[in-house]
Amino acid sequence: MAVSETSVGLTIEKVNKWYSADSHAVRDMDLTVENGEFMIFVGPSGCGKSTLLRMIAGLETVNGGTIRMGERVINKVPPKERDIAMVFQNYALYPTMNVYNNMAFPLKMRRWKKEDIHRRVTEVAANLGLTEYLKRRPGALSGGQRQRVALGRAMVRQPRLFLMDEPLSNLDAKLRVDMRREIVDLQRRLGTTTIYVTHDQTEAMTMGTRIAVMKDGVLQQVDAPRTVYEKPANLFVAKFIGSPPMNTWEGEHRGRRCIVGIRPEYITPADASDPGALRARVSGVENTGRESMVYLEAEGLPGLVMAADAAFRCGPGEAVGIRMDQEKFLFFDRETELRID
Amino acid sequence: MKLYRKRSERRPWEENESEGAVPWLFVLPSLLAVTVLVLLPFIDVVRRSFFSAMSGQFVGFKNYLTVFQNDAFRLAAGNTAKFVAVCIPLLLVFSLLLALLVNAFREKRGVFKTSFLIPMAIPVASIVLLWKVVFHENGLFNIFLGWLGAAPVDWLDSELTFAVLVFSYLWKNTGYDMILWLSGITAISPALYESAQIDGAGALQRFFRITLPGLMPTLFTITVLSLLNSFKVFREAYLIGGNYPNTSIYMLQHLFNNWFADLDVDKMCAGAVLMALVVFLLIMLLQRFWGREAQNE
Repeated sequence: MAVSETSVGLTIEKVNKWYSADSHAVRDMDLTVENGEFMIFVGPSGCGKSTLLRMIAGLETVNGGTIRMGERVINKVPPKERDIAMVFQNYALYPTMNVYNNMAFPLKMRRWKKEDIHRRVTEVAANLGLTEYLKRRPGALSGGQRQRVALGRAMVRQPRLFLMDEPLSNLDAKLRVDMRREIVDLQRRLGTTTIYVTHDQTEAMTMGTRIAVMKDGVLQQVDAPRTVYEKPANLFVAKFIGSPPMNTWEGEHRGRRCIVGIRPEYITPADASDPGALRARVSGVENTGRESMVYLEAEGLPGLVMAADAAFRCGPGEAVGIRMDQEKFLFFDRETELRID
Repeated sequence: MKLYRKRSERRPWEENESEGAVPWLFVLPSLLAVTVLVLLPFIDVVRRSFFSAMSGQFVGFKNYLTVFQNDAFRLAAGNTAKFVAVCIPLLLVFSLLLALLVNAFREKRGVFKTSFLIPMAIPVASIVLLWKVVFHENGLFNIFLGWLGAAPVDWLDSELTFAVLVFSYLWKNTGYDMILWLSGITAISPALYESAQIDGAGALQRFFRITLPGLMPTLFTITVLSLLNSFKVFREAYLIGGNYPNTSIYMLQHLFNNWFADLDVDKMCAGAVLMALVVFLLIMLLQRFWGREAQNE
């Protein structure tokens, strides 16, 4: 992967944020973002991911610990001197300026020469397919076009760091999928360190080189998407990543009471004659065309979800045989909820 | 929005024939009041401005000519224009600065908002009494100036009375305009400021590139309202100086008042039509200016 010359890595050490005495938004965060990396912060609402991003941007003060860009501690550096670019959830385009001026704004603020600004803005606009909209104001653009302008405004400079705060959450489903790919491509081409905040676990799984899962201001796990999926650090990560979520129940592992989990795709239909098959009753079916989510009730187990082939036919109330791939069982401690190897 | 659609344009499910009348029904009460109390009398004023009040004969533009040649009219019109030209820019800038200041207070904003609005609620007559105590030749302000070693000034009957009137107008209207500015300021998304900060804009650049452009629609409303309010300052001028105050604050309304008392209804009507025209033109001009502004950026 090509790393941009201007890009830097980021080191977060023991960072804390309190909004008030009883609202501890980010707790003892330790995280290193490598230079050129595409890092995803993911977690449910209120987990502190946006707060952390805003602290990196300089929009929130840091109450404890240090944030370093490259070698430099930036805790007290004002946002304009951090040399970062940020894409906001609602785009934050300047409504009184047209697309050209929106994109030229960061360059004007950095006292670029007029002809340089013109060259750079038209270049980026052409890249993003915005050339014909340059004279329009944001109010006259569709959601997808606004999103592109916001990206363009972030890209005109070669910042040291890209920050994106749920940039796709205001788009409709199809556009979201397209933009997802486009952002990944863009990041790969530019090679600039990028931190991307989302609550959408599909975005988390598909976009980042690594994902950081957060809950209640505490970092749960940082790893490559596949690792987080296959070897979740704890029960929360196991259930948060993956859709539909992992099936879990209280069980036993090597003579020890624990929580057992299995992903829906490792439960498969089985013949009644299969000796290892489990009897279950179908309570509901969701066929997406590509696969069938079968909701099951089995004795001694809570409701299960099985991701079966779309060709698998069954209806509510029917009895079916299922088989669980024992190799794929994951076990979690009942107290700490940490995964047991 | 189209209030009325032709029958042929109606969709089949729009059975109700009276639907087109509904919007008019809502407008009716105020339309009725405005017609009876403002529009009809004004049409009568226009008519009277072309007739002699004494003989009732049609005189064409003679009344207008008389008004233009009238020294009192020139003085009053000049004073009024001067008052508007001095007060409105001062008021706009001053109230905007105050609004920015109040906006900077996050927690106690409500207290400031209310306290700056109090002048609006005090009746003019009672506040003029206070002005008389403060600005009288032997009043409080002169005593204060005396401590500083300055000679007493007759604030209420000299060229400086104009300043007292300006002060009185600012005092009364700043709070109101500040509230209007505040509503405009709070309508600007905070994310814009954050984005601008990251894009490298300092406090001044944020003000000139985000706050001010974002306040343009508000500026139009405030200018028009302040313009209309500035004509109400007659009450203060009248209560300070009576029918014939110092020439520096002899306003159009004084003139109209005196013409009315002298039964110079024809001149008064011509003057009123002229004033209405000027105000109307001013507002149209402002609107055009703003319309262009909105398209340009």
